[in-house]
Amino acid sequence: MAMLQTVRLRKKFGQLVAVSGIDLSIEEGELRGLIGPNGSGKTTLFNLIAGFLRPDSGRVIWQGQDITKLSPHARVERGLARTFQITTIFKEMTALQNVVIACHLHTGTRPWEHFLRGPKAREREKAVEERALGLLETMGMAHVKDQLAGSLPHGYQEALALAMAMATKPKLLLLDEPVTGMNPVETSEMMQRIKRLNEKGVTMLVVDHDMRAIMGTCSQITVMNFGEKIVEGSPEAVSKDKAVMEAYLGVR
Amino acid sequence: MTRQMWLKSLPLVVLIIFLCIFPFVVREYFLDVMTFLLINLILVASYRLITTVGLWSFAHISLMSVGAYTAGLLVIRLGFSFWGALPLGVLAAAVTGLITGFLVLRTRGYYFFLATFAAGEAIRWVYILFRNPFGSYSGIGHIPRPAPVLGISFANPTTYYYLVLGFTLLSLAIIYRLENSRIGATIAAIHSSEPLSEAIGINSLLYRNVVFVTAAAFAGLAGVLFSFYTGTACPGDYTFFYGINILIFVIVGGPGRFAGPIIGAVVLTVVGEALRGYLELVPLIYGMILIVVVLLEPQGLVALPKRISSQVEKWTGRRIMR
Repeated sequence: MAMLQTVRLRKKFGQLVAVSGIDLSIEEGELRGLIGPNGSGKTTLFNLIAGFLRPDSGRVIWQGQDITKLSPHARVERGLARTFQITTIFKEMTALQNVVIACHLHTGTRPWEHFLRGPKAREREKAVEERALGLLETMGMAHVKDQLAGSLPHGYQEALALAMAMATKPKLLLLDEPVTGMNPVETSEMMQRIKRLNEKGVTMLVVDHDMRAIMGTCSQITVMNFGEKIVEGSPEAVSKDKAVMEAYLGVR
Repeated sequence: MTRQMWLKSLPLVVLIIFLCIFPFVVREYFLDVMTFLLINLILVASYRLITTVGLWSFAHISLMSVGAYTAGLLVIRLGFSFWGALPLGVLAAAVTGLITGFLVLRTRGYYFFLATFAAGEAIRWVYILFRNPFGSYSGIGHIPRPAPVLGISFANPTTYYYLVLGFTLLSLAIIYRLENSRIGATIAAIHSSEPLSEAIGINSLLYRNVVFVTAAAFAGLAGVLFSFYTGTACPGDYTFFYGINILIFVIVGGPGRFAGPIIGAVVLTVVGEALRGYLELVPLIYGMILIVVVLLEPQGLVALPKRISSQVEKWTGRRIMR
């Protein structure tokens, strides 16, 4: 049974069919890439899977259960998490505070315990802070933990966003253009991090424009155009596919 | 506590001591003003709580009235004591907040503002349309003061003042504590970016409900204290204009900090009192102050000290405040 499945997922915006009947299937442990030219519908598909958009028809199946009607936070509770392209972090908080908030899901403390701040809550708060610090360390960001997230350089902000997503203990992580705006060094670092996390057991679906980054890291790639899946396969197969070349380069 | 903490809390301690001896240093008229101000502080702090999650409600005063009417009727019609009616009044306001929230909390921004305005007016019209038991436009009257405790009568304005002071300090402490807890941090996160909060597993709708219902409970408390002070509850006490005043207190004081709305309430109440002889001018002056503040210091009066000290620093090149 696939970990994540979409069944004939369809979404229209007015007259424009952004996603038309997509069947996607992701196995546990995969590092899948999702690429396509601008307007191909990959971002819409992404948002449908993450729960930020409701489909017009079709279903999203997570570990055998239909989660089509679930809100985003409920999907995160079940292990399906995502990162963002633009508002990736809480700019007014420090890096550490950002990760601590993201650990919120797994603290095990009830809200009123937080309010009363008894010894149990305080203990758990400490454990959460330690866990958050650990996550920052794996991103190589422990030294900026008390800096305002909004003042961090772009590469660090993306790494912080990834740390926050990891804090939710995801089983499958949807990455929304994780290397946009990065120079080749930062891109390579980020893709390495993503590969390492995947090897540690987090299934991933990465959407991006950087063909080289995706081809170099992902084992399987799905290519979209005009709201449809046009090709699915290994990086070699995809890069040689005629339909893909037509889509990206307009070559016949 | 460290010496630093002692120094920081000193102004607050002085203020509380001042509030405690207040009845003995001023004329009775000012005691009356201060009692209403304290009740407004509960309203203003609980209103601000709603703004911390990014929402501006217009149902706050109507929820206050639910507390007032419920407790008032329980005492007059069903013979409850003040101390039994008070928690029930608060609970009624909270439940009304819960129902209202269920209807309006999926909306945002301007839609939320209008939806809460509609809900608030609907509540007021319930009082007007149902003469029994709400008394229509005349409302309910003869709400007695709480029964004497240890021989001390609450008919005495000083005693009632201490009652209100106690509830106000308690309310402010709870709201302050809430803001500085993990719950407060989660609320700030939702305010900063709702989609991002959802993406890290925060149930934003749930938190918005919790905030709204909590604020409603405190509004209800203020309503009980208000109606048992004046002895009446009528639709005319809980109008649009009272709501606007609370809104102005919060904006002028500055919703960004906890102390902001409190400062706004105090300053504008003083201004209102200074215009005692010219009641018609109060809305005009309040409006002008609001416009001036929004134009010159949008973050409110609470941001002034920092603004001024950084300006002075620029001129003199020396640091004034920490």
